[in-house]
Amino acid sequence: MIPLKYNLRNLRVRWKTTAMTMLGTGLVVWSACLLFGLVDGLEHSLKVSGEPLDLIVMRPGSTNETTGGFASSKADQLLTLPGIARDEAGHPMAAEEILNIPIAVRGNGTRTNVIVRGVQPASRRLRPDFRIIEGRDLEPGKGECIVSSATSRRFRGAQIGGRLDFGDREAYQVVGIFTAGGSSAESEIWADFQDVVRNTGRSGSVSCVQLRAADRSAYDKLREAIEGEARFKLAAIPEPVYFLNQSRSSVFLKGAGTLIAVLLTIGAMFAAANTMFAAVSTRTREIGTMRALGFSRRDILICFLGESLILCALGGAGGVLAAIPLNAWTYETSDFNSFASVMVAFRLGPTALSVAIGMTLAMGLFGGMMPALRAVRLEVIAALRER
Amino acid sequence: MGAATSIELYNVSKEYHRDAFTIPVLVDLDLSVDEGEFLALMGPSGSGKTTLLNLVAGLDRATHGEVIVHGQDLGLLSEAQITRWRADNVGFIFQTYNLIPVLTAFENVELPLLLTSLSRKRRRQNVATALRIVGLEGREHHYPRQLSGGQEQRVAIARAIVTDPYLLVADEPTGDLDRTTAGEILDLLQLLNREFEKTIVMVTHDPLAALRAGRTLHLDKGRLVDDVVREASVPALP
Repeated sequence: MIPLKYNLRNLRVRWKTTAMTMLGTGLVVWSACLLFGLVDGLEHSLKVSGEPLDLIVMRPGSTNETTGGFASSKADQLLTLPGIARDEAGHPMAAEEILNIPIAVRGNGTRTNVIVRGVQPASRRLRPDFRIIEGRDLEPGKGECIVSSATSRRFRGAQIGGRLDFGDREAYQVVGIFTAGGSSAESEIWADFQDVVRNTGRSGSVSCVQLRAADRSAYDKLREAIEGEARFKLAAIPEPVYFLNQSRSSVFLKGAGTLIAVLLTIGAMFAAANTMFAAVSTRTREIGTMRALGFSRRDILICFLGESLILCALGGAGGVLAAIPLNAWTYETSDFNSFASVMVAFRLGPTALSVAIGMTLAMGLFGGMMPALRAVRLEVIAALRER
Repeated sequence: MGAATSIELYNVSKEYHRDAFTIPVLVDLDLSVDEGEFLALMGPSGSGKTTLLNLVAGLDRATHGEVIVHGQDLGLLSEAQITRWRADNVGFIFQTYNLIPVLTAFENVELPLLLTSLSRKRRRQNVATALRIVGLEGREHHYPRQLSGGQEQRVAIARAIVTDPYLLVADEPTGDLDRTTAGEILDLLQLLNREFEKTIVMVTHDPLAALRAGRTLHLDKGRLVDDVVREASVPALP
């Protein structure tokens, strides 16, 4: 086999062309990492939000918590149902919650909808890895709230000690920063249930009830009771299903991302092919010499395909490395149902990395194939005559 | 008893096709070269000498006739087999040296050995021996651009002999060199022929270079027009 150093040194000798091609392929891979990192972040935030034994109870027919309100008398009865899991202190892991979508002011002065969720103590246990990471938890009845660090950075007055004013009647003092395992809860502002009810004048109703079944059989019985019993007639939606439905909005992003990635990859393939055609063209006599010495057509094919792959792998690795700092980035988008601001953490996870590797291989292999075949097809005698 | 036959050509013709035209390059050629012979091929441009060289080196195929080298009928070998055959049996020396510019002298000479199953240690030994024979010890790590033309051709000769091939083919090996350096390269070829008993076929335009060979074939318009054997008249090595 033709030694690898032959390829590496040729890439070094033609360093300007190599650098330009690497830059091109690197940018393509970086763009793909960016697109799929965003999609992955969105999907991840919704995926980790869904616990298998958790149910979200809403009004039948509603698809979203913000439109799923029902009478608080029913909600009170739900909390007494048998089969609900209990925490160490014996309290049921179920919470009535109420959602309001006021307008908040971003740090740059622009406005957007945000979700204010009125929560009860059990709400915290019903979210993955809920923790206060700065300040303290809110105290009921004091008009306090807690926010995620992304929300804290983005909105005016959302820092600890600050005050979030939503119109004349609704205002909350920020007392703590929480994290919830990267779930969708990190896009919300959490306040006390009763405070939100009082501030919004919505006594007598809840947006939803979140609850966790003790086990799989209790889970089925709870669903039957909530959906079947005449006193309820509510929808008990498994949390993973609920968030799967919410994530449908990411399908468009994913489709668009894939289309853009494919188009970019095809463009970069031409760049790689152009570079490799030039490489074959300037090294025709070397190819002829190696063929004369006894290297087979397969050796030549592997040599030039390998060089193309190395070239694209260097660019691809550069693109992935350049995307790593984006991991610290949180971006804001809108929930397509409520039009409320949703904070999504960029995630350079397996999806984005798989796409990056796939694109690199595609660029290297398909971009290098035609030039390599051209090298393979060269007639030895004609190649030796090249100057 | 005479030497065994190294190269045999029976009724060999070679034609090229350009559009509707058939161009005969070699016409009904018969030839026999003994083992250990140093053969020079001379003739005007287009006489077919390089084509003949390519045929015996397994780089090209005859249109008609048989080309038998070291007992092997080359016409019976497939593309892959003839490629392998070249690696095992033929060392190539080109007019413009054809070294790989990004590889050092050592790596250039080692290149044909990568097609063998020799260990890294044996490859190193063989390369060192080949470079010593051509007088280039100490230049192992130089790149072609760091060598003179004569030194480059010596590296090319080392590359040609490193696998200890049966046959050396040289296409105008002194064509790009000054008279003194050309003389040194021809000395080296004579050494390989005499001391190492290599069969050498050399294409040249230079009558002085041809004088170094024991036999000179003159070709014209694809036909053999003269065959001069001069065992006694080969100039002595310095």
